[in-house]
Amino acid sequence: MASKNSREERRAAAAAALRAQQRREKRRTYLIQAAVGLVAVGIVAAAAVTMLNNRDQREAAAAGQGAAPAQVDADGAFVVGEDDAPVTIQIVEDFQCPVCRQFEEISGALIDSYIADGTAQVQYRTIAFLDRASTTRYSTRALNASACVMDSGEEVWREFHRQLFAQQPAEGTAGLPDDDLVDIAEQAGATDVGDCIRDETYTGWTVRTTDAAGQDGINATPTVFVDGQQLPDFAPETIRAAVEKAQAS
Amino acid sequence: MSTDVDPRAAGAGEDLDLEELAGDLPAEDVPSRLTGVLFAVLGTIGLAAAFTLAVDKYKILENPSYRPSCDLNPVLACGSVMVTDQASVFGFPNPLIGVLAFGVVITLGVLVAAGVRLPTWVLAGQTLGAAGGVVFVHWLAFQSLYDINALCPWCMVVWSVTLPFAVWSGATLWRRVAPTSRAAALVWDLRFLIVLAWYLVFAVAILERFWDYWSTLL
Repeated sequence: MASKNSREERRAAAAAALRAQQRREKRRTYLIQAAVGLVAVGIVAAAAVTMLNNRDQREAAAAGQGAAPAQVDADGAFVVGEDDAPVTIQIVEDFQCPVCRQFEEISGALIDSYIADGTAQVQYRTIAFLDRASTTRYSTRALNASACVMDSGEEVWREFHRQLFAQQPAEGTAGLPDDDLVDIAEQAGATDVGDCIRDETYTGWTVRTTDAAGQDGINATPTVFVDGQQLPDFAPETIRAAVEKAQAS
Repeated sequence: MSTDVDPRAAGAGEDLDLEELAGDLPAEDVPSRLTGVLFAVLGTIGLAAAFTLAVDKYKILENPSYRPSCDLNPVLACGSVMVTDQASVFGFPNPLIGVLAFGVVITLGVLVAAGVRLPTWVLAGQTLGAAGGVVFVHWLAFQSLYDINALCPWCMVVWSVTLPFAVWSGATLWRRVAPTSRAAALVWDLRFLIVLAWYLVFAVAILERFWDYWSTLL
């Protein structure tokens, strides 16, 4: 009996020790995994951030190159209307921005009337910061196309600008292909813009002018300034009141 | 107790066969009760997220200008994600699937945590459901990143719990049907790293896609 008991005891002790050993091995496995995991997270995070930063730098370098369109002012705006008009309106827009389309629908006619009767000179400062809203960087391609069309003169550009908002693609879609942009430009009366639009001649400038707008504190479109004063909203009444005030002063 | 004793030394004097001894140890429950607790916790988190999304969906339907709790900025936004076609891919809002499925996950988890030994076919069903969830989550994540261009925080919570649940379910099922399989044991041992690697792929994709936005926060 005694020898059987002690045999059982030894068996139990051995089993307990075996279990303890298994627990130690398990703990070791988890510690190794935690270490491997931490290192992997560190390496992947560092590699990803480095690569993305490099990509930013390449894009910034590309943006430094490339000509600006000849017709824009110091803000990168296309200027429409009489030079001696008493009021200056600056409109910051993005061709992909749905609220800008609404603005053009609601207040475009009023702006046009100010241009027509010599009340205001209008600076169309178009930027491209909504590339994420299409799958094909529509915002940038549309702004490039607009820069291409500037060579064809004020009336053609204004018609192109009107058409781009009228035919604005929905957010999240592929946007209008370059060929459609060329067609719209030619229908508006532009000539010789095919290569400029397809080759994205002014893409470097689109990045520069968009960055400059950001540095000027513009972080939403549309943003409307009347004689340098930013308007709280862009309803026709607000614009009319601001223009009348500017005329009076 | 004696944590540093060599099992051979503890059984000294006997021709104890360690392999045989290991076989005599009470077999570990597969899945263990701890795994059941994990299932219940993952299921609860997933249910909370799916339920919130479902409630926000009702509120948006009642009042289209309603801003859901997770509409934080242009990138992190539920509202713009919830109104897309992809958010009701089967003809009804996706969160309803989550409300149903995570309820089942919690129930199974609680049973396992209580020590119930689920039949293998139940584990197989659970793994099949989890696999369906994984496929769906990847499709939704792809749509969110590359088509909708916004991330919905509560949706990402659902993605984050679905992945470990599927890995744990699959590994558990495999160990149950093939207790001696070294591959099954290896997958089980590496389950944390598998989930981590999976998370990293998602994280890098999100980082890359919305880098313009993240880099403005740095």
